[in-house]
Amino acid sequence: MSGADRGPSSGAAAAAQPPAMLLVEPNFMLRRTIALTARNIGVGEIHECSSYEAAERTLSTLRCDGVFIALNEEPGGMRLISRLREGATACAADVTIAVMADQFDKARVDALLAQGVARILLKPIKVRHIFEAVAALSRREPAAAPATAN
Amino acid sequence: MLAAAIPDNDRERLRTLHGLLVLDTPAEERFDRIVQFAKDEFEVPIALISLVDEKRQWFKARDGLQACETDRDVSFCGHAIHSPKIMMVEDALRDPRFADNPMVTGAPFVRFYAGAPLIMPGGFAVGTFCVIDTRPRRLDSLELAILETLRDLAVLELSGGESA
Repeated sequence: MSGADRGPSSGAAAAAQPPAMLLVEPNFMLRRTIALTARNIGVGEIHECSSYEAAERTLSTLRCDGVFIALNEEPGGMRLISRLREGATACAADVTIAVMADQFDKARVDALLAQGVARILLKPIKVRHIFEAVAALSRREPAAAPATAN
Repeated sequence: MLAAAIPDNDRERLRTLHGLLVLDTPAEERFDRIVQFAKDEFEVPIALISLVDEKRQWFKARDGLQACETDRDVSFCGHAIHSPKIMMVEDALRDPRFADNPMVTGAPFVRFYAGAPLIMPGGFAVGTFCVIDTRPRRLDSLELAILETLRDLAVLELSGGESA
């Protein structure tokens, strides 16, 4: 995992810099394949964390343009989203957030939309669908309700 | 059928392969998880880590195929190790190299093949990471990049963490 502080993103230099994202995903194969493929095709740097705790530590110094979080039954995922929105990390408080999970109920979707989550994806998910979501996020498309990309 | 040519450097290539000490070893989760991931990602019935030995191809990891090895002269992977790029056969029945190949005309009825060469740090391709389908298809540029990534992960495991 790389974790360099990018500093404030503004101006022409920032525009020329490829986007940096943090992927919080415990599944090694999914996480590594996404990060390495992003590097290979040059769509930007995808930093990796396998746990919410590691993500909180990383985001204390790493400024990202987007954060992709795999949610499970633990509260840490929603807490991480709250921390991001509170501006308690090195990211801008309005940083683009996308989430994925095995299931979503209405209460959870409502909570995510209230936090301004831009993409909600259902697992199982393919690597190519993650890249499609990343591309959509880079175009700043409006928030979408949970949907599989299948 | 066009049997795969033997590379000029096959003696050195085989020395690299045999030096890995991986031929005829039991299945290992670290390889199995890569082929299982590929099978799901590409929605193919077969995914393999195939090592091209002197007379055979032997599968270090396989998902969707019963056989643990086949003759080298009927292997698609024997062709794929000749190039550093992915070899993609969109429809084997329309490819004169493979149309009458027994792997195409009989089980496992290969129609589509995409194999990324497993190029070791010394530069020799010891086999391929490949996905196979029983229907014609093609991979787009993103899918090819994903296949290359999975190949890279397999090479890392084969080489004990030393990247090519």
